[in-house]
Amino acid sequence: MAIFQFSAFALLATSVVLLIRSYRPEIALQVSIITGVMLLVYLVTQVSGVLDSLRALAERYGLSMSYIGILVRIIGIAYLAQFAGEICKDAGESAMASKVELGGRIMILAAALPAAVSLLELVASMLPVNNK
Amino acid sequence: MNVDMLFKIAGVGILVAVITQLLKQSGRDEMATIAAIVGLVIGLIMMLDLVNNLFESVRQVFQLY
Repeated sequence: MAIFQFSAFALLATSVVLLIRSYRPEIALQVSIITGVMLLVYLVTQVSGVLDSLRALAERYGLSMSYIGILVRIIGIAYLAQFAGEICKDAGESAMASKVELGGRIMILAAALPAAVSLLELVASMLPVNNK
Repeated sequence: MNVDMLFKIAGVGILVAVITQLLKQSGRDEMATIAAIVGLVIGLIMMLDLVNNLFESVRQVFQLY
């Protein structure tokens, strides 16, 4: 199973990082970044199958594809922002990590705003007050 | 997930640590600093390709711009 490979890779990388950290902390950081990138690339290939089946499901039940697209985009933004933020936090730069997380939040807000606006418009069109 | 890349960078790290120790012992501190910087740059160049790969695949899968 893939999860054994995944965990074994992470444990091996952790021991390598611990070995190097006492001599060269900056290269240990690079090793941990590379490990994170490899694990995430592997996960992205898994996630793409899940997203394809989600899209197929949405198409079958007649959900709007644009909303599914927004959802998927938000997941992608959160994925990248969390990856970069965790690495900054690992390196001891928690201020930079919180900036990255703030950036991710703002990007998610910007991506989700059209859906929220259309929801508000729908609610406003249902209210009898606004039917002029 | 290939372990080769991991061990390659770990090897660069250990090699750079040994070289800097040797250069510091022989009293050439500035050469030790240069060796440390070179090791860092080699690691960064190895990293760049992988990080670009991650960004491209995330962009493709999640349909980001």
